[in-house]
Amino acid sequence: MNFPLWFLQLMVIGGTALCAIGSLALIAFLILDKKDNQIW
Amino acid sequence: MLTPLMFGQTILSAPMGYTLLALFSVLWISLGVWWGRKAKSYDGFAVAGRNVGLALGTATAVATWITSNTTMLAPQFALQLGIWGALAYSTASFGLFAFAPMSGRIRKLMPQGYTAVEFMRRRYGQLGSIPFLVISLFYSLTWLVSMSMAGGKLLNVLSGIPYEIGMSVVVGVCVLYTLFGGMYAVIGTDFIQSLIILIGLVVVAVAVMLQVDLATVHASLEAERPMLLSIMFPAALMALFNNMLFGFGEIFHSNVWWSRAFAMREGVGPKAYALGGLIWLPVPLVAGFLGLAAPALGIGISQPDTVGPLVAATLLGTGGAILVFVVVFCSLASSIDSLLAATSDLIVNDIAEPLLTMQSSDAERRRMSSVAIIGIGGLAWCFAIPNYGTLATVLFFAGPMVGSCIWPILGGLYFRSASPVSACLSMVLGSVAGLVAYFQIGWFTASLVGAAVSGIVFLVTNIFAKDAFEFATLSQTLDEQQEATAT
Repeated sequence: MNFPLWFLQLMVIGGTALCAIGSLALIAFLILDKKDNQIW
Repeated sequence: MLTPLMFGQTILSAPMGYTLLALFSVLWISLGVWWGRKAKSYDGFAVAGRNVGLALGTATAVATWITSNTTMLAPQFALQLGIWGALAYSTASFGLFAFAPMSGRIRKLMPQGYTAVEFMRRRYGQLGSIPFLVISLFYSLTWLVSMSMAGGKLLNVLSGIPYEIGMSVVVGVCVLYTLFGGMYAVIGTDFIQSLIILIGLVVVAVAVMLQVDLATVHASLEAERPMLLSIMFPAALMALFNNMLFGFGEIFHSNVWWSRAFAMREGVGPKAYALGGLIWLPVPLVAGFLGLAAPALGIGISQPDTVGPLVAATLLGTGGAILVFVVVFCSLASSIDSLLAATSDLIVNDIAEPLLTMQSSDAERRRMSSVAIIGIGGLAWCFAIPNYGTLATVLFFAGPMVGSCIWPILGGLYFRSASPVSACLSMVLGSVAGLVAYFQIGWFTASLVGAAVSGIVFLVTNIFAKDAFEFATLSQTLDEQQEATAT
């Protein structure tokens, strides 16, 4: 029994989307921290 | 069939490799010096003033956990163990999720703490702290040596820079910026490094998907390597559980993670580690996809450990090769700097200070840290320079050892009754059993056996030897502890 195509699609497209969202989230957190003067 | 982009045996020319190495070396050292202005006190140097916010806290969890193994070994894992290989690698993120609530408790119990060994010493006394210190130092040094060796090898494979030069530059640059900026530099550079790694992976993955659709990748695997798609792949399933427990052990015990818990502002740790786990989880999946796509792209793989860079360079040309070089350099630096900083904390707080009869001043501790960072960097360089291949595999011995630390740490953090005898026996017997399994059965069972034996020993011995620990004593300062002991 093999992993179906939809699982590979979920893994790869979902993973790439999460990486992209992750990098955007880090930038958003930095902007929010900077606004509140809470970077360090 | 695509022709891999190659400069002789490498994906990047040596002059381009040297230029990138020089550029990023100057950038990291300059940032270290810049942030070092804030690291005047020992608290600033060791734990970044204990005020790190959510952005840098999350990024440092992500970057530190992305080692060169994550970006280079995950495609190889997928190429050899299939989809399960990529999934197995991503389970290492569970360690970050599990450590999230622990980081909040650590920060609350020890608001002035510095290291994981300090917790074990104050929680279990010498019986618990000595085996834990031995395991911690073994793990830190073997990880540092294996990362240094990986640095030399990867720069050589990617651009032809001689191993000795690449390794020395990577170690030297990390020592210098950690020396100048301490934890401020480590966490600050981690933010930039995590962004570069994440964006780099997205660019490469999208380029692969534009070149070949996923249905073709799936069909190609089904026809040529059906085992890589198989749901029942016993070795890969064992690797999944082993990897997960290795990850738990690594994060729970290592001062790399504890020092960050102490460095983050109160309330930030749990959120930062949970978000860090969520951002880290897809990284091995995306990197692993490069390995799975290689057969469909018709890229011949003679060296499986370079499948990721080869796919990126073939599809994206010189730009892709540069991107891979930078991502690998960032992955290496983000782990090596963390190890240097966290291990120097262990040496100052858990070896030098307990041996000194007088409590050292802030300036003396700062000086000791600098000496420790240079010493650890020098030691790693000495072990790495002969380039003994077997030395890198020594890190895998640490799997069962760190796996056997899981229960003593959890028990010590959450249960008053967890006793020093239980902690000591579970770490020692778990490590021994795990190492026996490593040699008798295979690497993929070592952490599993180590953690299981350690857990059973911890539970059983705790029935006979119960403690009644007062958690409030962990927040006492050294003077308060001495006063309490005297009375």
